[in-house]
Amino acid sequence: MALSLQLRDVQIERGGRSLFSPITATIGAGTLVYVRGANGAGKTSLLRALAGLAASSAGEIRWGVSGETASASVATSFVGHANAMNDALTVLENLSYAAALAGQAYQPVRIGHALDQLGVFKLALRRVGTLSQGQRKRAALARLLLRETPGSRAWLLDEPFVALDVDTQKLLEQLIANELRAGAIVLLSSHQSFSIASPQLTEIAL
Amino acid sequence: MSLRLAASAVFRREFQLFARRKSDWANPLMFFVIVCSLFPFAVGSETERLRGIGVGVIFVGALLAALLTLPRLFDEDARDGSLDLLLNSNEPLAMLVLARVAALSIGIGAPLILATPLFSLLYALPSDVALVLALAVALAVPTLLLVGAIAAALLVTARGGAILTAVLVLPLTIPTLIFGAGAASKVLYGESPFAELSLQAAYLLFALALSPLAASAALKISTD
Amino acid sequence: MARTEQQSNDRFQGRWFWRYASPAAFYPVAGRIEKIGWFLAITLAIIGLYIGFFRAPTDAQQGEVYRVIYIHVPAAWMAMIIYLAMAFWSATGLVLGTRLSFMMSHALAPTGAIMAVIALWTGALWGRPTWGTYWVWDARLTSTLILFFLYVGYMALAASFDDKKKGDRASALIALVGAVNVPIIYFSVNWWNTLHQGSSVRPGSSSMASIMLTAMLIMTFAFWAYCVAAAMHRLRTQIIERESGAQWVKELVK
Repeated sequence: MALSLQLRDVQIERGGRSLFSPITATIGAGTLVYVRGANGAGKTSLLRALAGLAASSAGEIRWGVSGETASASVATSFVGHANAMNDALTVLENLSYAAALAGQAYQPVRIGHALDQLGVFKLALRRVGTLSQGQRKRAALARLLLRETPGSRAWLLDEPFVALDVDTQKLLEQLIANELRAGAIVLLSSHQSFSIASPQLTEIAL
Repeated sequence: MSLRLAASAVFRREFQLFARRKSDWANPLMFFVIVCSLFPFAVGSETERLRGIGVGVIFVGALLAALLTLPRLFDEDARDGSLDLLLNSNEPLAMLVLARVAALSIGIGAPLILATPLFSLLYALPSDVALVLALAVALAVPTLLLVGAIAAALLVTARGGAILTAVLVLPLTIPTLIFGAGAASKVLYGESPFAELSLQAAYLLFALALSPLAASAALKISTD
Repeated sequence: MARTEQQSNDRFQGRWFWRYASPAAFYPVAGRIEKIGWFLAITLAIIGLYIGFFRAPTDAQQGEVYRVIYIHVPAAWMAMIIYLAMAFWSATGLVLGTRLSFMMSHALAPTGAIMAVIALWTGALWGRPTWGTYWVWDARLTSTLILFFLYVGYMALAASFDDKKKGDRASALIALVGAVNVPIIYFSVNWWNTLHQGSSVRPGSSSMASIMLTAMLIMTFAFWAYCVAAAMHRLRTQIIERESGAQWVKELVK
């Protein structure tokens, strides 16, 4: 289940102009990639393009799972600024919806375990609309832990530490480190400083 | 297998939302009720006159009520980010959109269809006309929502969404309007509505085949 | 299925039809076509109107009023044809990703809408003396009205995106959806019209003498030429506006 990512001359256009100069990179399993850049440099656009949510204007993005080319929808989990949770539904309902769209049958135990790892198991049956920002973010991050086996999906995290308190940030750093050890690729953008123990570290500067 | 899983999750979620937020289906129904009640004040309450306009008023009222629910399809999801889950699924997006439109058609359509015979009574329409009209509305609401899904998908991120949706969608509902209202009128004049209903159903099938594809392409364009 | 312009370029580079896919290359060509178009439009319109208004006989049934067909019918045809052309360029743009195709469809839309308005306007002018009212819900007039709505929708959609590229693709998609639906709408409106017994006299429905037909054909060509010229003019404006960052435009404007 080794993950790999290849970027060849990737460019993204917004409003008719390129956001950054072409990116070429080869990223192997267990690598933490820090996507760096000023506001408007295209961090979110790049992460969305890597997640298959937007098209790149030129170049090629190729995800590989066990040496074979895979679509971004199979190889990645994306957590962006928005939490991808409907306020009127409970955390459990939202996460099982996300799991079903990712191709997994309803497994409340797995969802419960994921919530537990982020310390929000108690919130499973609460409606998202009644939660605080930090709680929502934690519940949203639990989506990452719904993967089949640890390390089987690349995590694409757009500003994951926003709205998290110090302890939770530590917790997330720990989870990322564990996932990297299991062979995942993690790409993240962040304005906050963080420290993640990682076997390999790369930077993409935009 | 996993397509069925994903599609049924989309379908189920719509009904969870309908159960949590009754206003989602109750407001369009109220809109329909009020629009239909306005016309007698404007044109007078003579039985003959009401019978003459009844089919048209009820049919157009139902179409407009359904039209108003279109932003519900993708707008909220785009705001809270759940749309990304749909886009990022490995299953064909067109099928997921279809599941969502189907759920919306049932959730919005059922109250409208049930209210149709009631309003037929208020417009002095005979009961056989009322039944055919309800059937025609049952065919028209999914057609409008299917065609409307394309516009709603395109306008997820654009300015002036709601009104522009109406401008884009309403001309395309003319066939179902003509055949649907035509069917009920035929019954009113004592003729068989079979031809009109078949044509209306044919248009629904046509929309069923093409709209989900167009709507998924539209979603990809607008969220790109 | 859909490519970006770059991918299409890699695939088709060097082929004859690809040479003019670049706005820079097509700009001077469009200029030449525009000039020829204006010339033909004016010449043919003068000849056509002369034959139609001074040579062609008075219609036995409708009197002098019928002469509006020399404008009404070609305009109605053009409204239809331009929509199809627009849909064609939209499809091309979506498949090949060429920005010139999208510009072409944007350039065509206003002309098509104007044609629909001319057809409706002249229809109303003709209707007043003939039917005694400016508007009847005649199948062809009603269809033209709906076509006008489709044009308006297309243009409004294209204008509502800040990102031009997005607006291009979005409006192209809606043009295709419209084009697929147009035959069905026409069919349904016809069905509805026969059901509700519309008027039987229509512009251009009576049998025509051959000189009338000649005038109408000439006028049709004049309208074609006008539409081509107007579209090319708008296309050139669009190219300049959209490519304003490019070097060749800067040199051109200098």
